[in-house]
Amino acid sequence: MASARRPPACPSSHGDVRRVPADVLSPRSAVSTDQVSLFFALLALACQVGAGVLAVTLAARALWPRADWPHRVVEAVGPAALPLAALVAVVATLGSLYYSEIADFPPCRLCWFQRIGMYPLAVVLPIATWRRDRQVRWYALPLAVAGGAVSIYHVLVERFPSLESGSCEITNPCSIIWVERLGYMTIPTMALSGFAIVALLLALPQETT
Amino acid sequence: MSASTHRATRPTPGQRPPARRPDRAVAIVAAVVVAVVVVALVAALIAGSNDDDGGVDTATRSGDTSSSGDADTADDAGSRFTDAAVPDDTPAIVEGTPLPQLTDGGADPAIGAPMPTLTGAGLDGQRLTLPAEGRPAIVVFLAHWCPHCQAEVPVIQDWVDSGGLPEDVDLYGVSTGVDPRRPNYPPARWLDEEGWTSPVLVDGNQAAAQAVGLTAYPFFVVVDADGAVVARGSGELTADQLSELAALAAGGAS
Repeated sequence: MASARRPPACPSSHGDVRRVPADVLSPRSAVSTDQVSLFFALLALACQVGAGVLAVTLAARALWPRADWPHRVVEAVGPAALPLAALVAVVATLGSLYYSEIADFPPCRLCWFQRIGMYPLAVVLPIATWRRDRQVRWYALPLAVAGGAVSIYHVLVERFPSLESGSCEITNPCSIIWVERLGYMTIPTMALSGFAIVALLLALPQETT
Repeated sequence: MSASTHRATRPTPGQRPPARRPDRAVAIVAAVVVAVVVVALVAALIAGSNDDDGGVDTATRSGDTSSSGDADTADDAGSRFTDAAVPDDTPAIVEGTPLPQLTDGGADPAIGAPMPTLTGAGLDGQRLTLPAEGRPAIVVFLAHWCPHCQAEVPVIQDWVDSGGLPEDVDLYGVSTGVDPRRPNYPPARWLDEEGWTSPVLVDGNQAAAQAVGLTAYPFFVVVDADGAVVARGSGELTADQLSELAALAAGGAS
């Protein structure tokens, strides 16, 4: 029944909850929001695996300085850390823009705070990569850590809506789960994955052989 | 390896530090880019194969309802609202003076004012006007995507099922704020799955919500037998609080 519905909507009414899905408006688009979400969810999963490996490596390196393998991992990943972090930041920013501008999901308050963390990284990290400026970590790490902290809170709000408020504000409460793939991968979960891997890549010590 | 590579942890200002094994870095980044492309293809293939009925999100979701919906819930709850298939943008008609918006703190200026009469399509397909004349009522405004409404609906229904709602008090739901892209759409399926038994007004143009001064979901308006507002509020309520509202509604009549 719903598929036949074409609710009237004014494209300029940005705050209106009754907006036509982008997919309905432009059936010509080659990919659906579902496909794109799965793509980003898989990328985020890769980020989580990578972040896990880096976290374990850094912890092992600190706990057992004599162990050889953490140093070898750091040595192997180190040279690519900055370009990889830049890649993650750029893709995450494009994903964020996809959801708001193409899929037409309005960003909530907490989404905006995470954007404040991620968008500058998408500019600063590629420039730092170009200039081979590892010192960018002093500026980029705080952004990634602050953004990741907001992401953690947003993920909690999605699971426990009462953290935000006892009721839903009319327009766009942050507790709405717009996308959920792989059983748990929501938009702030993907953001957290991105922030985590960027932060860990930037935190990698520059080891020499 | 040259000696200069070994002191590169902290580059001298103004001097570009030499890259350590740039070839390897390029290789790693290239491998990651290739992996991203592969992931994109996999995502397109997997999601594309679930997308046969037109590629439209909303169509897929509502298609799931009718064809492959959860058999258990359908058996338990029936499909009264889903079968009626009332378009959820059906407008509601308001008669009477709109209530002021509910504000935090202080006395509610709407108390004692007559509640506007709301008329429109019921979610079961029957025309519905509320509140019924001469009967106290609790009206709860629900948005399908709001997690607090999702939590409150079973509480209300359990309260009704356990006899908490007095015979002489009516309970109405109003389905408002409907958005096909938001979660838990359509509201008809949701309320069917929750076994919702009370009449539900479709507020497709948010007119009913505005007329009662709604500020958040879920939103309660309680009226006495004279149709005057005795209480308003928003947020999740417990069964005990619902009983208090019912008593308030019934009490206004005496």
